[in-house]
Amino acid sequence: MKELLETAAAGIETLRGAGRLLILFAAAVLVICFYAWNHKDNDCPEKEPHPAVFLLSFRTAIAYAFTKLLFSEQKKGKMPRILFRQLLLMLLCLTAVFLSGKRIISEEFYAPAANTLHIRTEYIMVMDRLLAEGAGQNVISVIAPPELSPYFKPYSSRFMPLYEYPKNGDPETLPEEARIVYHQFSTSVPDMKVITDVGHRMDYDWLIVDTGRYYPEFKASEFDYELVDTVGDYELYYAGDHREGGE
Amino acid sequence: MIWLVTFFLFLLFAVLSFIAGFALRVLTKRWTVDIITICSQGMVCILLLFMVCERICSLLRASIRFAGALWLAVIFVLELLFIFMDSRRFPRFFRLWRQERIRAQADGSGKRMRVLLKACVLLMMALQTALVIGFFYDQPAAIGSLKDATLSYDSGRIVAASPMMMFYAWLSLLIRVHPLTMIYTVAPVLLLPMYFGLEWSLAKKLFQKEEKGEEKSLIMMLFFSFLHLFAYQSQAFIGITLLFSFFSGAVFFVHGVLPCLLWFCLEPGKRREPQENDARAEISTEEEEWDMKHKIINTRNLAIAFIVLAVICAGMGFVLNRKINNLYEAAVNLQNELNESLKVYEFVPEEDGTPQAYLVKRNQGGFIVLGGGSEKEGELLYDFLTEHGCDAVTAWYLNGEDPEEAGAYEICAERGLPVDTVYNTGIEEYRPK
Repeated sequence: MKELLETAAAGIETLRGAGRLLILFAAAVLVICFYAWNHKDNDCPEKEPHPAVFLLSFRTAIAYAFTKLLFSEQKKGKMPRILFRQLLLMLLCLTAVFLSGKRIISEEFYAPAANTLHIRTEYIMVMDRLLAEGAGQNVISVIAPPELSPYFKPYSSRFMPLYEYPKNGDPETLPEEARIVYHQFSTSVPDMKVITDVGHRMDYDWLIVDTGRYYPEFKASEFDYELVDTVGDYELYYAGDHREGGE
Repeated sequence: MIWLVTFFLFLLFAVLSFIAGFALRVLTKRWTVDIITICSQGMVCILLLFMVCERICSLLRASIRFAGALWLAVIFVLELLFIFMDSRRFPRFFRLWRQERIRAQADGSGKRMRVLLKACVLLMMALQTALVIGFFYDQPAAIGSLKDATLSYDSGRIVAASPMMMFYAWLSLLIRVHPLTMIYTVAPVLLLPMYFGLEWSLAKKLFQKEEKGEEKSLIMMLFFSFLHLFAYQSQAFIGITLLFSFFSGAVFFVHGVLPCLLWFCLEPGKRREPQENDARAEISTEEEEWDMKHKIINTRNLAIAFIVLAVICAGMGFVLNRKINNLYEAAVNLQNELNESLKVYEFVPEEDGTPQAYLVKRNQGGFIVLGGGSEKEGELLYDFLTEHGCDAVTAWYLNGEDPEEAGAYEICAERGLPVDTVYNTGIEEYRPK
């Protein structure tokens, strides 16, 4: 029951905000229907498109309805009044657009790209170091924090991270072992024993820890992982017994 | 350098999509002299064509390079064929396009407003494109399918689930850049104009019969731009948000294929009545007359011949590609197969230090033991064999029958290790006289 509720909560969280676009679309369809009805009265029904076709593209319906609304006041009254009405309508339409969704150009989402790959330079340095260390290996298995892990496979198909970005951002969709590590990395004091145990059990060679973000009580080196290098804030550990086995 | 390559790719795709869009016009009898509409819809067509080629190659287990080459071959053949068949349409189209331009320029009313709106729309589009290229967004949810492009780029194989990613992978192989550079730096220049062009085609179509239609279309484009900038409604929609996931297949479907279909839905299927001073009507009637008068049978035959030739060439290419792939895979796997056909483990008792037995693990299954040692090593040997997964021995080669050579074997047999056949080789150390 608890799991069901958690799944439902995650689903609601994922879909939260989606209704705003639907409301905007419904309003737009109403406006289009209104104009279609008016034209029907004027004996020229084919001038307005059928509102149903806009189901193919919600945004087209919204933009079209707003434009229609804006120009509907053009032939009524005197010029200053028309301009005032048009400005008011323009403001209303833009407010509706602003309220319909989050601003994409914001610090939350965007930052200047340091390279053409659109991956943080620090991540690239970590991945390049791992590729150099794993030269000759077909697969480089790695456990990394959730913010870094999704970039491994897009960077090189040789990487095999324990997990990528979970479906809809919900860690419960991950396999059990991955979920355990994901949850550990979701706190600032991860239990490195739990993480390294998973690493040893699943035969993962590499473990990456962001020292600027995580403050574990014991380092991974206490649990049969050997510190190989440090790249910025990231510590790169290699499973000691694997390295011996490999050699 | 990357910008130069991007510019050339943009030009190439512009030409290809223009011809494809023009062919689409002819096939569907939906005439327009708007180059942006033709190019953007043509681009959708050629991308869909790539998806078809990619799917065919995926079923045939061909490589991504072959899929791309097949796609290019199909496009070139079809477009050359079209140009050959309808060579007269192009000069007429450009003549009519010029006439419409002159007519639009002659219409002085609201010219300043139009120029201002056009500048605003172009600025918004340029800003959005620059934003996507020059800025990165920390949204791991949007990058999920990019790994398929990298996998295909690295391995040359087709990942059937992501046709758009295969397109980027193939382009990356073509211009030799990392797929992520391709997607984030080159692809926006190719794809965003297509999406904006499709929006423009819809805006123009919706207001084409109204007064001040161009102004209204431009205002609608501005609304489109604002909608894109405030398009992040929820995490569930991140995959179809243009400025986050412009590279994804979902965005191509939602912002590319569906608007294209909407455009065709907005155009009624009935034939338009020719009107005076109407360039579109003029082109329509001229085409119909020309089609009626022209002897198209020969060109159709030629078209069939071209298609047959293209299919034969594609088939030959495919067979050759498959042979090369098989050869490559055989060469790559040869070393691994040699390494993996046999595995030999050495049994060295700790106190002795000299090897007493060898366990040979065969790739096809089964274990062979050479030697063994004395009775005191029997327990250790049994543990050694079971640790290496040996639950039954196919053949055991002993060096002699005395307890020093066969003692360990007897202990193992007593402990229940099944042994199919035991050979006594009687090997003795050679001592020169």
